[in-house]
Amino acid sequence: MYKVYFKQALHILKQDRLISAISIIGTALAITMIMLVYMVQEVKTANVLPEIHRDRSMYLNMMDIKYNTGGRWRAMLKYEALKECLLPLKTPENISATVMLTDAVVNMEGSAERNTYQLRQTDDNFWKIYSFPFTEGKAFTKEDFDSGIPVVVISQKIAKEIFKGQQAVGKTIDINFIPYKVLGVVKNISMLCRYSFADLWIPYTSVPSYTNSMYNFVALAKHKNDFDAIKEEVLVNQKKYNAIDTTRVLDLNGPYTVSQMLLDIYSSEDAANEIKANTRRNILILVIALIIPAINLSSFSLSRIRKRMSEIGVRKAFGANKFSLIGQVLYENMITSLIGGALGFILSFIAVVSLRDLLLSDSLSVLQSGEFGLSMSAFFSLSVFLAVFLACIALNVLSASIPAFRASRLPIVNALKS
Amino acid sequence: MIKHILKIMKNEHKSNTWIMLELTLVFVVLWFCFDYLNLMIQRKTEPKGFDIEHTYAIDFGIKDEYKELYHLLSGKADNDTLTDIFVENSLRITEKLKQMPEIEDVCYSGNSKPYGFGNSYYSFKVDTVYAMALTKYVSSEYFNVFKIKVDKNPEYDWDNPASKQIIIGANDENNFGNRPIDEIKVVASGRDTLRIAGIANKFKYLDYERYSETAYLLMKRHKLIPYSYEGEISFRVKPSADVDFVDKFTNTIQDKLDIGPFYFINLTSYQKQKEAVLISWGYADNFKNIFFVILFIVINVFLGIFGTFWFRTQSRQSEIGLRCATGSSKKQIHGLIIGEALLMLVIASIAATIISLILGYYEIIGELGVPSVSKAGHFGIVHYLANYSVTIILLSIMALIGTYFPARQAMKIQPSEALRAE
Repeated sequence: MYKVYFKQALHILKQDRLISAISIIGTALAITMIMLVYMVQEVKTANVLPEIHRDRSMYLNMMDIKYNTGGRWRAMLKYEALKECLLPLKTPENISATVMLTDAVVNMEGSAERNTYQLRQTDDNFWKIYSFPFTEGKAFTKEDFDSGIPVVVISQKIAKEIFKGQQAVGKTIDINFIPYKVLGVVKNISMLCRYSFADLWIPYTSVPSYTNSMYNFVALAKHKNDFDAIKEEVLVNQKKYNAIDTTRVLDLNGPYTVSQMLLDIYSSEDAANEIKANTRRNILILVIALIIPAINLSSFSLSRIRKRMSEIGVRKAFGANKFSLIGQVLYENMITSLIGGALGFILSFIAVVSLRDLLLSDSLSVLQSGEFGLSMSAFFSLSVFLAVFLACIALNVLSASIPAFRASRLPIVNALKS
Repeated sequence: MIKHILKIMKNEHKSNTWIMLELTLVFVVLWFCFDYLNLMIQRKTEPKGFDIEHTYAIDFGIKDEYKELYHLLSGKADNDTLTDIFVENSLRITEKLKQMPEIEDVCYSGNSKPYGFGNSYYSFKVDTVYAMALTKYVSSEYFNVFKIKVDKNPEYDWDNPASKQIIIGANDENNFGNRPIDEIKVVASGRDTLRIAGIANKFKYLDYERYSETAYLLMKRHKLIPYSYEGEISFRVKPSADVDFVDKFTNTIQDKLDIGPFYFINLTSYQKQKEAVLISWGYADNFKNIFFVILFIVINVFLGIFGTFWFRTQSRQSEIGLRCATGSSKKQIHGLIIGEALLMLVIASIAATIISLILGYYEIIGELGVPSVSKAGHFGIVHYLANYSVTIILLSIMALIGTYFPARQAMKIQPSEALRAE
């Protein structure tokens, strides 16, 4: 039966090539639009090397402090708050703290030629939470971190530019005029991995006065369901911390998931609203992207069905019921939707790759130089294909249900008369 | 003529309902896109009160051996001999920069650079009212570097650090703390009374924001440390020298600015800084999204009108044939089809404008989390006329293009063939 429908649908597509083309283009555009929204989000939130646990990660890098004197500050996360409230957390599988990415002056030992690179000061857990592809050597260990010895992991970019391709591990480079021993070399990291990207990674304990730095904290939950439990534990620690010194109230209001971190949340009161607003915004874009083409397609399908009245009349006269007619129209339309969907997927893929800078650039990538590589695995995931398919079905139901319903209700006499 | 077209539209109401529905919906969406863009363009065209062309921010680090000392000092007041190590060396850096022939002027500021990620807001008391002002701690060269015009009060010497003075800038209504800015003589900040040393031109934090009340305070000597949020050094380059300046500067400077506790890290143009801040404030994303939405709608409207009229000329072949036979010229037939599309657009636009105005009045779009122009701005009729005109012009163009091919096809119809089908 469906084979007949399929043949018929193809035949109809061929009959009026122009309208078929318009229908397919309309569908493809809708799918492209939805996929762009989805992919731009996906690139930043899907698990990709080295941030392979984004779905289980929570971040925190801001804090609110209210003083009894009336002052109120929103500031970057300070070491004291990190040490007292976040580093003692027991619920997460692992935790790590990283100093905000900074520019560092780097030169080969003894050489005067200076270069500026992105420096990330971190701890040993960092290497367990993220999975870095090492090409040489290894990461620094807990012992290295605790003792604060000057060791560094460098990117291939530095290995190439400073060591000119010679073996780097074991050699020494000056970072901000302090000699560091190279422990390992990792592949270049895309700037889209905003929590792990850098050119150089050192233990933050190797920098004097690290207690004055500003931090980004990450907690890796054992399971996604633990997010609330982690927040709870932070609240408990925060309460204890606020009890020690009652002249001020610390409010961490976090940590946040990766997709929440993408929203620019300026104050803790904002957070919940901003998250809701973002959801509504995405729904609105989805609705616009689906409804407008659906109206077009509905109108075309209806016109087409009017042309096929006699065929429908004959089918009815021979006993086809309502549902089989609705089924036929939806099925025929689904073929257009799927062809359009496939085309839309390809278009969105081309758009993301060619408009990468426009679509994905953030304030970090504008100011810094670095790789802006896209991980293709983010595109060819099951969830992306599923999203395309769901969008196709949604569009199909939206655009074909009214015509299908109309067709099923057509009185036989009228249909045959025409 | 219009009456005649209306009659045709009524007969074709089945397919017209769809295209009218689409046009109305699309008109509303476009209206709000242009509503937002309209205001943004207005704001952008207002002078923003400063000029960042040919200006650069220079970043310094503090050498590790001085770091503990720096953190010991931070927040400490004047005349500390230890502070001198930092301040003297910092002044030496600016001296060196000033000697460079390419550089016009060099200034300090404390967490106060244009397009900075961080900003300070303080309240100043004017008579009995408080003004929450964007507060900038600057050296007096700041005004030259960023070309901010100041009407200086000749009675006061802004450059004298001992005197308690302030330079202020007004908001949109030319007020500072709800008082006309020209009438203000002193403002109070904490226990201090600050005399108005001058009035600066209106300043906006970002191109697309409104003017904000601004206060400029002379930077204290012990704050002249170009590190962290404490102090920033910015400078203006002669226009003739401003070609690949970042590279040239970095190559010539190397370690020449590593003075005392400081070392040179890098140079950033304010143009780049602006780009980054516009992204971080969401403007870049808003414009991007609006662009894609408009593009999407325009293409869809074209497809919709094209498809609908294509079907129509096919199903009305015989009618068109009859028209030809009874003496209608090709032009008239073309006009009839275009007229029908435009008339539908006009009717849809009236409905859509009413819907848009109601949605705008109740601020429903803002509630949805979409960047929208809040009612607070209250625009005159000109603003709405502009929204309407741009939207309808854009859609009319699409209608003209969309009906062109179907109309041309209709004109090709041979009366004899069409009539024979009848």
